[in-house]
Amino acid sequence: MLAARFAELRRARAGALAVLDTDGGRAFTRDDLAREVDRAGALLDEGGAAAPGGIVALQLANGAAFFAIILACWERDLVPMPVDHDVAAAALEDLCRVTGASAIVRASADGRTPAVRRHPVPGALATLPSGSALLKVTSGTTGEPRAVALTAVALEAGVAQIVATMGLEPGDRNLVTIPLAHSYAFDNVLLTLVHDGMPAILARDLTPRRLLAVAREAGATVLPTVPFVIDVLGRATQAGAVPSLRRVISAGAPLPAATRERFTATLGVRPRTFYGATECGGIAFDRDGEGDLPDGCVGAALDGVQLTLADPDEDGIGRVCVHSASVAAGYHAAPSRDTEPGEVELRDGRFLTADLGSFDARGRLQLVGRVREVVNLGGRKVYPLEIERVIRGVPGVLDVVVSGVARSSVTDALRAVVAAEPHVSREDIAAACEQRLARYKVPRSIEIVDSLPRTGRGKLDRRALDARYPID
Amino acid sequence: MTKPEIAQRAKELLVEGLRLEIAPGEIVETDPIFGSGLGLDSIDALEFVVLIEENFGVAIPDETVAKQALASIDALAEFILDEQRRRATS
Repeated sequence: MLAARFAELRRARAGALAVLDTDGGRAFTRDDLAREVDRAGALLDEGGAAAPGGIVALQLANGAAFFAIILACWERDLVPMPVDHDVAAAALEDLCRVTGASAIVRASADGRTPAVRRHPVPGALATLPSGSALLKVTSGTTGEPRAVALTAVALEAGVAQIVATMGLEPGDRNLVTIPLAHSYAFDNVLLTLVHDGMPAILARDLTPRRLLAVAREAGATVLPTVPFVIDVLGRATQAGAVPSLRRVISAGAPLPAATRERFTATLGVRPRTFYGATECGGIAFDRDGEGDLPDGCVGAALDGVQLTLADPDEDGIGRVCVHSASVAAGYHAAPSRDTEPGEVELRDGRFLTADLGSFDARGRLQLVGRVREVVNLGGRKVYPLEIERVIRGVPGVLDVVVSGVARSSVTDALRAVVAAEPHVSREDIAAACEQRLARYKVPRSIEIVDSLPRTGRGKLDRRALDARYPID
Repeated sequence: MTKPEIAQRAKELLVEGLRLEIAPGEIVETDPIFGSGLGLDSIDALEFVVLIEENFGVAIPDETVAKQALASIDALAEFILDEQRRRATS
């Protein structure tokens, strides 16, 4: 279905740019990419990848080969499973065993061309939900990877929602700074190319001046990225403008207002917050892109997405629940954790997230925390996001995470880990909290750091955080 | 600024900017900054590139130059000195 869509695009304009790999300096037209797909297909066939319906794990860096393997899998009714580059060999092996992947595609010794390796499939395995076209791997709320099965129909619905809501057009060009193996880039970059013909400019060198020069030379118009990249680009005030750039998208972590405003001042385009999840694709987007977007506000639902709040409390705060045609069919070969409190649920076209939120007067979603992150302080419920918002308002603060750390068997204590510029002190943070929060909400432990530990996916690495900053 | 002054300031930036748990004086000027005992990754490298540009008014155009310039504190001080001289004469 998606392979046929790309074939159609190729027939319409074979010479149009598809992928520009700035590392090797090679440009691939749709025709060139189709040839790469044929080559990738031959590789899969020779490697004895699988019978239709089989799962092919791929662990490849951003490059034309990534697109080619995905399309070649779809032409053969194989189900690709992109795996992050920094997943260790043993973890990849585990993932393949659990999901029943029959082949693994990784870079060969030269680091460029892909190589296929067969993987033994154990006997009794869970069957994939019918119509599955892709397995996305998510670390979920616990850090244990799970494979999410998506149908081609859901993928098409997901990319259509993104294109319509973000106002993307076939003439747009994505500047790619994020791994294609992640759900965010897969949807915003790979699917917009395969489904809508938007070329992908793959940036390898993220040095701000180089990245901006590449953007300029290649006429990049759209930059789907993460707050860290937005921060360094916003500070590159002498690196020159990118006149073609018209849409900058920030996802993966909260975007501090100061970082957003600095980027806007430097490059003349205001980054828009995007909220999504592997299980359902895009959820909400800063659609107006103007005025003051309060911290925690992630904008309004994407076109085609219905948002509800499950079990709202008296303040209107409930769990964010997503209904849309892009919701995944289910988890594959993973035990259901539906009965565990606070665990996400995926069923019947509905995804119950672990995020808590409320709607503001304009219908925008305001995230206030995660289900498991309601901290209980001797019976008083505290939402860390409320405290994070106050701390984020202190000049010089770049990022913050407040969490509850068990202090005794009956009560938690609050710990704030604050990424800030060197001039910010613990006392500044404590003073701001004391001024604006109830006394019991002032964190007992405040750590100032240069950056928060994040996983390869850009998500907060809670384990690293807990290990590094124990409460005393 | 003299080379030792630049080296001193660069060490301070490294420690303060990336919040290392060591004193600037403990950094060996000829040791590699990245991929060494300091435990810094590619995100730290990007952050340090931006800090150097912000504080010394020099341009680091790409990764190749960054790798050479940030090879060690000594190499960095030399790079900054060269850049500043070039700017003064041009």
